[in-house]
Amino acid sequence: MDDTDYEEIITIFKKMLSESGYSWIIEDVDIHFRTASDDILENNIYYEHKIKIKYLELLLEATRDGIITPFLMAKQFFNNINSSNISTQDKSQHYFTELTFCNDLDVDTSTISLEYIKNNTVIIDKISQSLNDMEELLHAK
Amino acid sequence: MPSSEAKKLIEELRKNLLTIQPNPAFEKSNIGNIYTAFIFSHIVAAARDNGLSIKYEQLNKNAPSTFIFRNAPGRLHSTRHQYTYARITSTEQPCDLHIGVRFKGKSGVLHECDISLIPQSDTDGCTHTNPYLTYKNLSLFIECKYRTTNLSLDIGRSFIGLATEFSESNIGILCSNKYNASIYDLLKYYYKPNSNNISLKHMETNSDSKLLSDILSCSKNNEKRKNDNDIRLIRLSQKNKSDTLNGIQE
Repeated sequence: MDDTDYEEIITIFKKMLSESGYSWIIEDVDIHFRTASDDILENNIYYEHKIKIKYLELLLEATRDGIITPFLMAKQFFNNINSSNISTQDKSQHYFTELTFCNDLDVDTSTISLEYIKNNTVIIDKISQSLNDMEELLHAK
Repeated sequence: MPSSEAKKLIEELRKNLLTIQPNPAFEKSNIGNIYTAFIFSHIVAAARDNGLSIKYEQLNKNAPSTFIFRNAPGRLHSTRHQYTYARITSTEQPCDLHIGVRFKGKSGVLHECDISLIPQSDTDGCTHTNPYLTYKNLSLFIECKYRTTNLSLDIGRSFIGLATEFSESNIGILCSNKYNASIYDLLKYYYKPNSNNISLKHMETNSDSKLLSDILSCSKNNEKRKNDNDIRLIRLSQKNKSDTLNGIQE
Protein backbone atom coordinates (compact mmCIF):
# COMPACT_ATOMS: atom_id res chain seq x y z
CA MET A 1 0.00 0.00 0.00
CA ASP A 2 1.20 3.51 -0.71
CA ASP A 3 0.40 6.68 1.22
CA THR A 4 -2.85 7.21 -0.67
CA ASP A 5 -4.06 3.75 0.28
CA TYR A 6 -3.34 4.33 3.98
CA GLU A 7 -5.16 7.63 3.84
CA GLU A 8 -8.14 5.94 2.25
CA ILE A 9 -8.21 3.16 4.88
CA ILE A 10 -7.96 5.69 7.70
CA THR A 11 -10.81 7.71 6.20
CA ILE A 12 -13.03 4.64 5.79
CA PHE A 13 -12.20 3.39 9.30
CA LYS A 14 -13.01 6.74 10.88
CA LYS A 15 -16.25 7.00 8.90
CA MET A 16 -17.19 3.50 10.07
CA LEU A 17 -16.56 4.45 13.73
CA SER A 18 -18.56 7.67 13.42
CA GLU A 19 -21.51 5.96 11.78
CA SER A 20 -21.48 3.28 14.49
CA GLY A 21 -21.67 5.87 17.28
CA TYR A 22 -18.02 5.81 18.31
CA SER A 23 -16.81 9.21 17.12
CA TRP A 24 -15.45 9.80 20.65
CA ILE A 25 -12.77 7.19 19.94
CA ILE A 26 -11.57 9.27 16.98
CA GLU A 27 -11.57 12.39 19.15
CA ASP A 28 -9.47 10.63 21.81
CA VAL A 29 -6.94 9.45 19.24
CA ASP A 30 -6.74 12.85 17.55
CA ILE A 31 -6.10 14.59 20.86
CA HIS A 32 -3.39 12.08 21.73
CA PHE A 33 -1.88 12.24 18.25
CA ARG A 34 -1.61 16.01 18.36
CA THR A 35 0.03 16.04 21.79
CA ALA A 36 2.41 13.21 20.88
CA SER A 37 3.14 14.46 17.36
CA ASP A 38 6.63 15.74 18.14
CA ASP A 39 7.81 12.29 19.21
CA ILE A 40 6.07 10.58 16.33
CA LEU A 41 7.52 13.00 13.77
CA GLU A 42 11.00 12.76 15.25
CA ASN A 43 11.03 9.00 14.94
CA ASN A 44 9.48 8.87 11.48
CA ILE A 45 10.59 12.06 9.82
CA TYR A 46 11.87 10.33 6.67
CA TYR A 47 8.99 7.90 6.37
CA GLU A 48 5.68 9.65 5.96
CA HIS A 49 3.78 6.40 5.53
CA LYS A 50 5.00 5.30 8.99
CA ILE A 51 3.21 8.26 10.53
CA LYS A 52 -0.01 7.10 8.87
CA ILE A 53 0.61 3.54 10.08
CA LYS A 54 1.16 4.88 13.59
CA TYR A 55 -2.11 6.77 13.42
CA LEU A 56 -3.96 3.68 12.21
CA GLU A 57 -2.37 1.62 15.01
CA LEU A 58 -3.59 4.13 17.55
CA LEU A 59 -7.09 4.01 16.07
CA LEU A 60 -7.18 0.21 16.26
CA GLU A 61 -5.86 0.15 19.82
CA ALA A 62 -8.31 2.79 20.98
CA THR A 63 -11.17 0.93 19.29
CA ARG A 64 -10.19 -2.19 21.22
CA ASP A 65 -9.82 -0.26 24.49
CA GLY A 66 -13.08 1.59 23.89
CA ILE A 67 -15.29 -1.35 22.92
CA ILE A 68 -13.79 -4.81 23.48
CA THR A 69 -11.90 -4.42 26.76
CA PRO A 70 -14.75 -2.78 28.73
CA PHE A 71 -17.05 -5.62 27.71
CA LEU A 72 -14.49 -8.24 28.77
CA MET A 73 -13.85 -6.44 32.05
CA ALA A 74 -17.57 -6.48 32.83
CA LYS A 75 -17.70 -10.17 31.99
CA GLN A 76 -14.73 -10.81 34.24
CA PHE A 77 -16.30 -8.77 37.02
CA PHE A 78 -19.23 -11.20 37.19
CA ASN A 79 -16.90 -14.19 37.08
CA ASN A 80 -14.76 -12.88 39.93
CA ILE A 81 -17.55 -11.62 42.09
CA ASN A 82 -19.76 -14.67 41.78
CA SER A 83 -17.04 -17.25 42.14
CA SER A 84 -16.00 -15.45 45.30
CA ASN A 85 -19.44 -16.07 46.69
CA ILE A 86 -19.74 -19.70 45.78
CA SER A 87 -17.14 -20.83 48.27
CA THR A 88 -18.31 -18.74 51.17
CA GLN A 89 -21.99 -18.03 50.87
CA ASP A 90 -25.28 -19.46 49.73
CA LYS A 91 -25.07 -19.07 45.98
CA SER A 92 -28.81 -18.72 45.54
CA GLN A 93 -28.93 -15.65 47.76
CA HIS A 94 -25.80 -13.89 46.58
CA TYR A 95 -25.32 -14.67 42.92
CA PHE A 96 -25.15 -11.31 41.17
CA THR A 97 -26.88 -11.12 37.82
CA GLU A 98 -26.76 -7.33 37.51
CA LEU A 99 -24.28 -4.55 38.06
CA THR A 100 -26.03 -1.20 38.44
CA PHE A 101 -24.20 2.11 38.29
CA CYS A 102 -25.97 4.90 40.14
CA ASN A 103 -25.50 7.77 42.57
CA ASP A 104 -27.37 9.81 45.15
CA LEU A 105 -28.52 12.30 42.52
CA ASP A 106 -30.05 9.56 40.39
CA VAL A 107 -28.39 10.72 37.20
CA ASP A 108 -26.31 8.54 34.86
CA THR A 109 -27.90 5.33 36.04
CA SER A 110 -27.18 2.28 33.92
CA THR A 111 -27.05 -1.47 34.31
CA ILE A 112 -25.06 -4.36 32.91
CA SER A 113 -26.74 -7.71 33.25
CA LEU A 114 -25.31 -11.16 32.82
CA GLU A 115 -27.97 -11.65 30.18
CA TYR A 116 -26.57 -8.70 28.21
CA ILE A 117 -23.06 -10.15 28.47
CA LYS A 118 -24.31 -13.51 27.29
CA ASN A 119 -26.27 -12.05 24.37
CA ASN A 120 -23.37 -9.98 23.07
CA THR A 121 -20.35 -12.20 23.66
CA VAL A 122 -20.33 -13.71 20.18
CA ILE A 123 -20.53 -10.37 18.43
CA ILE A 124 -17.80 -8.88 20.64
CA ASP A 125 -15.58 -11.86 19.80
CA LYS A 126 -16.16 -11.23 16.10
CA ILE A 127 -15.26 -7.56 16.44
CA SER A 128 -12.16 -8.50 18.41
CA GLN A 129 -11.13 -10.93 15.68
CA SER A 130 -11.63 -8.31 12.97
CA LEU A 131 -9.41 -5.90 14.91
CA ASN A 132 -6.77 -8.62 15.29
CA ASP A 133 -6.91 -9.24 11.54
CA MET A 134 -6.58 -5.53 10.83
CA GLU A 135 -3.51 -5.34 13.06
CA GLU A 136 -1.98 -8.34 11.33
CA LEU A 137 -2.62 -6.82 7.92
CA LEU A 138 -1.09 -3.56 9.04
CA HIS A 139 2.13 -5.24 10.06
CA ALA A 140 2.31 -7.76 7.21
CA LYS A 141 5.19 -7.17 4.82
CA MET B 1 -1.29 -3.84 3.85
CA PRO B 2 -3.61 -5.02 1.07
CA SER B 3 -6.20 -2.31 0.68
CA SER B 4 -9.05 -4.58 -0.50
CA GLU B 5 -8.72 -6.89 2.52
CA ALA B 6 -8.63 -3.94 4.88
CA LYS B 7 -11.81 -2.53 3.34
CA LYS B 8 -13.50 -5.89 3.70
CA LEU B 9 -12.56 -6.09 7.40
CA ILE B 10 -13.80 -2.57 8.03
CA GLU B 11 -17.11 -3.47 6.44
CA GLU B 12 -17.35 -6.51 8.73
CA LEU B 13 -16.58 -4.29 11.71
CA ARG B 14 -19.29 -1.87 10.66
CA LYS B 15 -21.90 -4.63 10.46
CA ASN B 16 -20.90 -6.15 13.79
CA LEU B 17 -20.67 -2.83 15.66
CA LEU B 18 -24.20 -2.02 14.57
CA THR B 19 -25.35 -5.41 15.86
CA ILE B 20 -24.29 -4.79 19.49
CA GLN B 21 -27.29 -4.06 21.71
CA PRO B 22 -27.05 -0.42 22.82
CA ASN B 23 -26.30 -0.07 26.54
CA PRO B 24 -25.49 3.26 28.22
CA ALA B 25 -23.29 1.42 30.72
CA PHE B 26 -20.72 1.00 27.94
CA GLU B 27 -20.67 4.65 26.93
CA LYS B 28 -17.41 6.53 27.26
CA SER B 29 -18.44 8.25 30.49
CA ASN B 30 -18.92 4.93 32.28
CA ILE B 31 -15.95 2.89 31.08
CA GLY B 32 -13.81 4.09 33.98
CA ASN B 33 -16.45 2.77 36.38
CA ILE B 34 -16.38 -0.63 34.70
CA TYR B 35 -12.62 -0.64 35.16
CA THR B 36 -13.00 0.18 38.85
CA ALA B 37 -15.53 -2.63 39.23
CA PHE B 38 -13.11 -4.94 37.44
CA ILE B 39 -10.24 -4.06 39.82
CA PHE B 40 -12.55 -4.36 42.83
CA SER B 41 -13.54 -7.85 41.72
CA HIS B 42 -9.89 -8.82 41.33
CA ILE B 43 -9.08 -7.79 44.87
CA VAL B 44 -12.03 -9.80 46.12
CA ALA B 45 -10.97 -12.80 44.04
CA ALA B 46 -7.41 -12.52 45.33
CA ALA B 47 -8.63 -12.42 48.92
CA ARG B 48 -10.81 -15.47 48.31
CA ASP B 49 -7.99 -17.36 46.59
CA ASN B 50 -5.83 -16.77 49.63
CA GLY B 51 -8.29 -18.14 52.12
CA LEU B 52 -10.12 -15.03 53.25
CA SER B 53 -13.87 -15.09 53.62
CA ILE B 54 -15.89 -12.73 51.43
CA LYS B 55 -19.39 -11.50 52.03
CA TYR B 56 -21.22 -8.81 50.09
CA GLU B 57 -23.23 -6.37 52.13
CA GLN B 58 -25.12 -3.12 52.13
CA LEU B 59 -25.29 -0.69 55.03
CA ASN B 60 -28.80 -1.91 55.88
CA LYS B 61 -27.21 -5.37 56.27
CA ASN B 62 -29.35 -6.90 53.55
CA ALA B 63 -27.72 -9.36 51.22
CA PRO B 64 -27.80 -7.69 47.81
CA SER B 65 -29.01 -9.38 44.64
CA THR B 66 -27.87 -6.58 42.36
CA PHE B 67 -24.39 -5.15 42.76
CA ILE B 68 -25.00 -1.43 43.34
CA PHE B 69 -21.97 0.55 42.23
CA ARG B 70 -21.62 4.19 43.29
CA ASN B 71 -20.64 6.07 40.11
CA ALA B 72 -20.28 9.50 41.71
CA PRO B 73 -18.37 10.16 44.94
CA GLY B 74 -20.35 10.45 48.13
CA ARG B 75 -20.40 9.78 51.82
CA LEU B 76 -20.38 6.21 53.00
CA HIS B 77 -23.75 6.45 54.65
CA SER B 78 -26.32 7.12 51.95
CA THR B 79 -30.07 7.15 52.44
CA ARG B 80 -30.64 7.13 48.69
CA HIS B 81 -29.10 3.82 47.65
CA GLN B 82 -27.73 0.76 49.37
CA TYR B 83 -24.32 0.58 47.72
CA THR B 84 -22.64 -2.79 47.76
CA TYR B 85 -19.35 -3.43 49.50
CA ALA B 86 -17.29 -6.52 50.28
CA ARG B 87 -16.73 -7.61 53.85
CA ILE B 88 -13.40 -9.42 54.06
CA THR B 89 -12.88 -11.49 57.17
CA SER B 90 -10.25 -13.78 58.53
CA THR B 91 -8.80 -14.45 61.92
CA GLU B 92 -7.22 -11.00 61.73
CA GLN B 93 -9.00 -7.67 61.77
CA PRO B 94 -12.08 -7.77 59.52
CA CYS B 95 -12.31 -5.00 56.95
CA ASP B 96 -14.56 -3.69 54.20
CA LEU B 97 -13.79 -2.84 50.59
CA HIS B 98 -15.81 0.13 49.33
CA ILE B 99 -16.23 1.96 46.02
CA GLY B 100 -16.49 5.71 45.42
CA VAL B 101 -16.51 6.88 49.03
CA ARG B 102 -15.27 10.33 50.01
CA PHE B 103 -12.75 10.74 52.82
CA LYS B 104 -11.49 13.86 54.51
CA GLY B 105 -7.83 14.42 53.84
CA LYS B 106 -5.31 15.99 56.21
CA SER B 107 -6.41 19.45 55.05
CA GLY B 108 -10.04 18.68 55.85
CA VAL B 109 -10.92 18.66 52.15
CA LEU B 110 -13.03 15.74 50.92
CA HIS B 111 -11.52 13.43 48.31
CA GLU B 112 -12.97 10.48 46.48
CA CYS B 113 -11.34 7.08 46.77
CA ASP B 114 -12.18 4.87 43.81
CA ILE B 115 -11.58 1.84 46.01
CA SER B 116 -10.95 1.97 49.75
CA LEU B 117 -10.31 -0.55 52.47
CA ILE B 118 -11.38 0.37 56.00
CA PRO B 119 -11.83 -1.55 59.25
CA GLN B 120 -15.25 -3.13 59.61
CA SER B 121 -15.89 -1.16 62.80
CA ASP B 122 -15.48 2.11 60.86
CA THR B 123 -18.13 1.07 58.34
CA ASP B 124 -20.49 0.12 61.12
CA GLY B 125 -19.83 3.35 63.01
CA CYS B 126 -20.65 5.55 60.04
CA THR B 127 -24.17 6.99 60.23
CA HIS B 128 -26.11 9.86 58.69
CA THR B 129 -25.17 12.05 61.66
CA ASN B 130 -21.53 11.05 61.38
CA PRO B 131 -21.25 10.54 57.63
CA TYR B 132 -17.67 11.32 56.69
CA LEU B 133 -14.65 9.19 57.26
CA THR B 134 -11.16 10.64 57.33
CA TYR B 135 -7.73 9.62 56.10
CA LYS B 136 -7.20 8.01 59.50
CA ASN B 137 -9.82 5.39 58.67
CA LEU B 138 -8.10 4.32 55.44
CA SER B 139 -6.04 1.14 55.34
CA LEU B 140 -5.72 1.15 51.56
CA PHE B 141 -6.80 3.44 48.75
CA ILE B 142 -6.74 2.77 45.04
CA GLU B 143 -7.09 5.21 42.19
CA CYS B 144 -8.35 3.57 38.99
CA LYS B 145 -7.66 5.25 35.66
CA TYR B 146 -8.81 3.69 32.42
CA ARG B 147 -7.72 5.31 29.19
CA THR B 148 -8.11 4.46 25.50
CA THR B 149 -4.95 6.30 24.47
CA ASN B 150 -2.33 7.60 26.88
CA LEU B 151 -2.08 8.09 30.61
CA SER B 152 -1.29 11.77 31.03
CA LEU B 153 1.25 13.07 33.50
CA ASP B 154 -1.54 14.97 35.28
CA ILE B 155 -2.69 11.67 36.71
CA GLY B 156 0.66 11.18 38.46
CA ARG B 157 0.66 14.72 39.78
CA SER B 158 -2.86 14.34 41.14
CA PHE B 159 -2.01 11.05 42.75
CA ILE B 160 0.89 12.61 44.63
CA GLY B 161 -1.51 15.23 45.98
CA LEU B 162 -3.99 12.58 47.03
CA ALA B 163 -1.28 10.44 48.60
CA THR B 164 -0.14 13.45 50.58
CA GLU B 165 -3.66 14.04 51.86
CA PHE B 166 -4.02 10.37 52.76
CA SER B 167 -0.46 9.83 53.87
CA GLU B 168 -1.35 7.96 57.02
CA SER B 169 -2.90 5.23 54.91
CA ASN B 170 -0.65 2.21 54.71
CA ILE B 171 -0.82 1.72 50.99
CA GLY B 172 -1.91 3.78 48.01
CA ILE B 173 -2.13 2.33 44.54
CA LEU B 174 -2.44 4.01 41.19
CA CYS B 175 -4.03 1.56 38.87
CA SER B 176 -4.29 2.00 35.10
CA ASN B 177 -4.55 0.03 31.88
CA LYS B 178 -1.82 2.26 30.41
CA TYR B 179 1.77 2.83 31.35
CA ASN B 180 3.56 6.15 31.55
CA ALA B 181 7.27 6.12 32.33
CA SER B 182 7.21 9.72 33.52
CA ILE B 183 4.56 8.91 36.13
CA TYR B 184 6.66 5.97 37.23
CA ASP B 185 9.67 8.24 37.70
CA LEU B 186 7.59 10.88 39.44
CA LEU B 187 6.14 8.46 41.97
CA LYS B 188 9.48 6.78 42.47
CA TYR B 189 11.07 10.11 43.31
CA TYR B 190 8.46 11.14 45.84
CA TYR B 191 7.89 7.79 47.47
CA LYS B 192 11.17 6.08 48.10
CA PRO B 193 11.16 2.68 49.74
CA ASN B 194 10.84 2.81 53.50
CA SER B 195 11.15 6.58 53.61
CA ASN B 196 7.46 7.36 53.69
CA ASN B 197 4.41 5.86 55.19
CA ILE B 198 2.91 4.97 51.86
CA SER B 199 3.80 2.43 49.22
CA LEU B 200 2.88 2.58 45.58
CA LYS B 201 2.75 -0.80 44.01
CA HIS B 202 2.41 -2.36 40.65
CA MET B 203 0.32 -5.34 39.74
CA GLU B 204 -0.23 -7.00 36.42
CA THR B 205 -3.87 -7.74 36.94
CA ASN B 206 -3.69 -11.01 35.09
CA SER B 207 -1.09 -12.57 37.31
CA ASP B 208 -0.65 -10.87 40.62
CA SER B 209 -3.37 -12.24 42.82
CA LYS B 210 -0.72 -13.18 45.39
CA LEU B 211 0.53 -9.62 45.46
CA LEU B 212 -3.01 -8.29 45.82
CA SER B 213 -3.57 -10.60 48.71
CA ASP B 214 -0.27 -9.61 50.22
CA ILE B 215 -1.22 -5.94 50.00
CA LEU B 216 -4.59 -6.65 51.54
CA SER B 217 -2.96 -8.52 54.35
CA CYS B 218 -0.48 -5.73 55.07
CA SER B 219 -3.23 -3.12 54.93
CA LYS B 220 -5.29 -5.05 57.39
CA ASN B 221 -2.39 -5.68 59.72
CA ASN B 222 -1.06 -2.17 59.66
CA GLU B 223 2.31 -3.31 58.38
CA LYS B 224 4.73 -2.10 55.79
CA ARG B 225 5.32 -4.41 52.88
CA LYS B 226 8.77 -5.83 52.64
CA ASN B 227 10.90 -5.45 49.52
CA ASP B 228 9.37 -2.17 48.48
CA ASN B 229 12.19 -1.66 46.06
CA ASP B 230 10.26 -0.34 43.14
CA ILE B 231 7.14 1.47 42.16
CA ARG B 232 5.12 0.49 39.18
CA LEU B 233 1.65 1.02 37.82
CA ILE B 234 -1.03 -1.56 37.67
CA ARG B 235 -1.94 -2.19 34.08
CA LEU B 236 -3.44 -4.79 31.87
CA SER B 237 -1.04 -6.65 29.70
CA GLN B 238 -0.86 -4.89 26.35
CA LYS B 239 -0.24 -8.05 24.40
CA ASN B 240 -3.22 -10.28 23.76
CA LYS B 241 -5.39 -8.26 26.07
CA SER B 242 -8.51 -10.21 25.14
CA ASP B 243 -6.77 -13.51 25.78
CA THR B 244 -5.46 -12.24 29.08
CA LEU B 245 -8.89 -11.19 30.23
CA ASN B 246 -10.43 -14.43 29.11
CA GLY B 247 -7.63 -16.32 30.77
CA ILE B 248 -8.47 -14.89 34.15
CA GLN B 249 -11.69 -16.86 34.18
CA GLU B 250 -9.89 -20.12 34.33
